[in-house]
Amino acid sequence: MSTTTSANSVLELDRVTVRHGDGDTTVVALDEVSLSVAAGELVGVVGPSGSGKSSLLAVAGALTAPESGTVRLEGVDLGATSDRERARLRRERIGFVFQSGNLLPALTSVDQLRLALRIAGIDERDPRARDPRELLDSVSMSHRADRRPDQLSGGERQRVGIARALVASPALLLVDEPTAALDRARSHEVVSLLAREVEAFGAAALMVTHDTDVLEHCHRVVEMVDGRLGLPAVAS
Amino acid sequence: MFLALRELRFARTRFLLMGGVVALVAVLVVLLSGLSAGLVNDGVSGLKRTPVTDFAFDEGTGTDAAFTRSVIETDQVRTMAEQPGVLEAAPYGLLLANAHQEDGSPVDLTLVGVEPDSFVAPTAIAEGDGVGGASDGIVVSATAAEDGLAVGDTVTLARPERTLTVVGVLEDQHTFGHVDIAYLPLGTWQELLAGVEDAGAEVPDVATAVALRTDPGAFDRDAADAAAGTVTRTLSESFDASPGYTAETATLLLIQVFLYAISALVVGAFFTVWIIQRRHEIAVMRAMGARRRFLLADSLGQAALLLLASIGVGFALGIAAGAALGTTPMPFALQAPDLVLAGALLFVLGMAGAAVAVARITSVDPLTALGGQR
Repeated sequence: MSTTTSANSVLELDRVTVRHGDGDTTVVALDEVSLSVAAGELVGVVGPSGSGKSSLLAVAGALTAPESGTVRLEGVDLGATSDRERARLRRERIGFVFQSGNLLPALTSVDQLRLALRIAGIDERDPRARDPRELLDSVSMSHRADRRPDQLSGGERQRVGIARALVASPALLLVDEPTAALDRARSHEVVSLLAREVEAFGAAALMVTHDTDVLEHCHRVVEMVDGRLGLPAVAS
Repeated sequence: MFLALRELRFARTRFLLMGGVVALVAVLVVLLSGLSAGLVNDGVSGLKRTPVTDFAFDEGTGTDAAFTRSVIETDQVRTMAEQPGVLEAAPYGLLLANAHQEDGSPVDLTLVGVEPDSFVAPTAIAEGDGVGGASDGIVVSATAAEDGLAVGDTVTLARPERTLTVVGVLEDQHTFGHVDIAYLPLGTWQELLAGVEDAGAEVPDVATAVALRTDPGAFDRDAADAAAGTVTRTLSESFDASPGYTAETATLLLIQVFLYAISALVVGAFFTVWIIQRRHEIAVMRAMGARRRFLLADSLGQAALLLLASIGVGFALGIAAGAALGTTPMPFALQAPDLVLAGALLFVLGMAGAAVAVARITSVDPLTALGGQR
């Protein structure tokens, strides 16, 4: 078993294998994947549909357990934690940015962030809590702070989604196809914003995307093909 | 309740419709509760408002017709009075009669014959005198007075043709089988039972039942019945002998049971659909690490708010409607303990329905938050 945990790596995957299905229809979603993401680093993961990108996010986000290999978050081996403990890590140490924002329809932008703090169990005066309005301001959404998702454009929703993922000061940001519903210009805006926030807050970020166009904003890009990880053919 | 309150506001049309259904059910529950109590009053208030604990009917009298079929001799009263545990025993005569007032309008009366100095003679007199001052004097229920009988009025029975004079009015409603009670001296009652038209004629010394006040610890019902040749029923058992009482109360009870069940199912169905609609949002929150307890408490809090508000509105409307009904001849009586119980039942059953639905939250897989949707 490898113990080469580098000093500043937040997320560390070591020969992680994940299989879906059972019996004859088993699909290897991740095949001995090793990857580490450091604080302040935005790592892009590209690859075709079904290459295992979502499984990578799920295993890094403590949503599924790997069949073999180890996943470490800030040095903690997720394989050795309970369901309850993993939920605690998700709410306190991990921020998720979902496709098309996945905001709650009943809440205004600022309430989306407040709810995230409540879910994390963090009081608004806690030093780990970012001020929701300031954070919305830093993603240029302060003018839409009191609007609900149905009054926001796709790009605006995604900005609120990014702010929501950051509000509880997570160590790791997991980003799932953030540009799926956006045009080119909005895609660049959103991903460059993401890169900026990651650098500013010193979080480690793993972004899964189809969109090779936005990879220029990533610090590092890896490609997934059939559950295996490699360097991409495209130059960035 | 952070999310619950914002959802209530956001999806207010849906919640208002749902709350409207619960409120209407609550209105019906209040009205039925008032109607049940009103009918019970109409059926047996005359029995309830006596100090009687048991009635001893003649041996072999069936339950449903006890008050109209039973005839007891006064020596059975004396035998009963001697039984251990019997604190008081008195003859109680009951007879349904058709009569008409001076202006010719018909009036039905339940004629109850009592010995004026016995424990069953009514004491709560609102106006006029008690039983016994005049042999042809009657003391009538407060409800008869509301219908136009006043002290000094006379009523003429159809058969035997006898004229009785109202000498007193009772404070409360005293009815039996939806008919107002008129108390009169037992001797006069016996003449009416025998059908004689001349006052003072020789008639059998009988009554319908022995009214008893017993010490439940010391009273041996079987032994007393064997000694006196009677069959004793407690006061509430003898309610069944009031015409229509069992059928009325059972019907209303059944309707109320159905209302409670409908309310629980409707609330359960609503929250089931609501949770299914929010499945993806719940998956997102679970992926964000939300505790199950956080999500359950929020949803149950939402259900509790919805139920409290709609039951409150429904009860307010029901009580207002009940107050309007109280001024009509409809038998309607709202009783605070009944209402508290009905409200609590609606709330508890509604929460049970919601809880079954909300429990689905725990089965939502946070993994479904990843990937494409909608």
